[in-house]
Amino acid sequence: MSSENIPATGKVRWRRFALLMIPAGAITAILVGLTATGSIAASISVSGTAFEVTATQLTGTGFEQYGGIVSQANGTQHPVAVSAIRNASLTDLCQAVKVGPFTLVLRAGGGGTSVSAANLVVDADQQSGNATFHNISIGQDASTLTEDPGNTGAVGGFGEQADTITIDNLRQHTWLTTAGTFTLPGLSLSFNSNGC
Amino acid sequence: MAAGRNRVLFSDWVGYAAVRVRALFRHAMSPGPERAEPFAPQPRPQPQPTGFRARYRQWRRTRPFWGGLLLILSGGVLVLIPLSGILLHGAIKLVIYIGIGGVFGVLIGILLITCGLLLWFTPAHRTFYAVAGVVLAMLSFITSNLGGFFLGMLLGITGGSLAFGWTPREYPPMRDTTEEAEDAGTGTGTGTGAGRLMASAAMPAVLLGSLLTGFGGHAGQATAGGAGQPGDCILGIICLPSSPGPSPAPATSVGPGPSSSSPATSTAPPVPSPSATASPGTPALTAPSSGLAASVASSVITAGSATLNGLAYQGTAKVPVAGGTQTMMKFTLNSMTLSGNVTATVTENGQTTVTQSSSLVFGGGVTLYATKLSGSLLGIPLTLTPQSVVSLLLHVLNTVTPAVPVTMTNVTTDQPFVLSGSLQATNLVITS
Repeated sequence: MSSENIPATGKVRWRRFALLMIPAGAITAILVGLTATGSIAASISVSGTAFEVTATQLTGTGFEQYGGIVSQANGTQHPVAVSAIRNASLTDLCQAVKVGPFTLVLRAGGGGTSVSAANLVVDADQQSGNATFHNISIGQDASTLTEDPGNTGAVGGFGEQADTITIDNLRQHTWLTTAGTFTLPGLSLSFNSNGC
Repeated sequence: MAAGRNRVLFSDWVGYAAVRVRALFRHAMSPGPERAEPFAPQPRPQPQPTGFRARYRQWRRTRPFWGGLLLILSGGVLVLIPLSGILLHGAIKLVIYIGIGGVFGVLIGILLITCGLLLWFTPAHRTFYAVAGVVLAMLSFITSNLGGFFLGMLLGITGGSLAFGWTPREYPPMRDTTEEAEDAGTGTGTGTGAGRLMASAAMPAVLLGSLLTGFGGHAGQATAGGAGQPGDCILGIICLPSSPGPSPAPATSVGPGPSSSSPATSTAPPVPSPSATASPGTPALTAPSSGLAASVASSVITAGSATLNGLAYQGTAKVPVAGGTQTMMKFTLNSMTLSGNVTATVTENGQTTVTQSSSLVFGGGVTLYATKLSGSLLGIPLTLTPQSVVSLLLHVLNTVTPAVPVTMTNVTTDQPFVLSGSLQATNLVITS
């Protein structure tokens, strides 16, 4: 900043602010509304703190599972089971994520329309439910899994895969969830301390 | 009379509105402020600030500082949510699992940070970066964890609007002569209102247009993913490389691959049996090195009891494993029920994963490979290994077991490799 070229000081003109803010807010409201009805697919990619996922039913095609490791900053290694599902649909999905002191609870797929997810990958250290598989192979080398192309485990690792999977009363404690696309009909977000 | 007057007013208004819209767009494109008249001109040459705080304050006041800051924070939120696992846990290999959605989210976050920084360092182009920031923030709702769980999106929209609203106080009025002339014709108050009305009609169109452009791309990606296109393709053009093993597989073997290991297993085993080791066998549809291979991780399945229907011992098989083959016993069954605290323990890299279940029901044709099978049959403890004589005995008994269900108790299976048409797992709990 040389003295002969001092830029002008300025201030925010609030009417000009509103000129952009109001239409942007309106369009955002429409977007949120369309997503909440499931018309628009959202994209989810979360990791970091462990969080909880529950669903009354998960059905999927192209299922793989193999072992993986999440390393923590303090050096401890956390074993996880990596589950990859090419196409999944979930009924009564609930995800609880700890955001600072709050727990953000995301619910979707309630009233009749289920959540659908493509290329869902979950790193969980605990999973439970009643599961049914078709054409399953257990104990296969994790690097030779073919059900979800692009996702394979370590060479020689313990892996399993199935054409289809159905899990009732799914409950899992995960470290990382990613999905290419997520449609979230009946989306609701809330903060509470109870989780799912 | 009144009608005539109205007509005059209307045509006047149309002409006026056109001028105003043109002026507004000119302003939007021009780096300078649109109008300086609401502010009283200040003495321009302020004393060169001394001291860090004063210089910092001066720097802040001469650019849309808060708008830029909010945009940077918004981008930070969007980037941190998908990446925090990697940043906190240092697990670089998890990047692989981020996938398309994560890449989009991170990209939008980075662009928002860039918009914020450019607002600071090139405030002259603030209108462009402010609008771009708002559009990116709105897009982040679909592409990045619902706009960073709303937080990043709201920060971005607010920040962009703040930067858009920021105007320098004193600036040499450049084109203000024409503006003043336009404004002079009509009353300033209502005139400005009409102009703003037109502008606020035009702005959503601009926003919606840019949003639809981005959204169209995203929808294309969504359908590509929904169609089950192999290998995570963006718009079917840019495809992420699959791992070398299964990469030739998706087109050909996603369908036929598993079906070869389905009920037909008893007749066409995907793993070559000893007699078939010379011939390539069924897995020829993938690369020979990447056919079905068994894991070498240490694994054990134990169960209180196992009911085996249609058991037939098929001799030993050389099962492909990573870096060679493993000699295993091969059994075929119609169905198999494991119950009584079924536990599968897998130990890999010093870490153990335990899968517990109250019962596992395999059906639809089962092929079981194992290096060791032990348990009690009719109260007699048995241990079968590929080398043991008892397995030869079982081979002899083969004529009986296919017809009669066999129940074993306290079963332990080492290195199991199971192919099954179906599996029902009750009260499954996987703990790592």
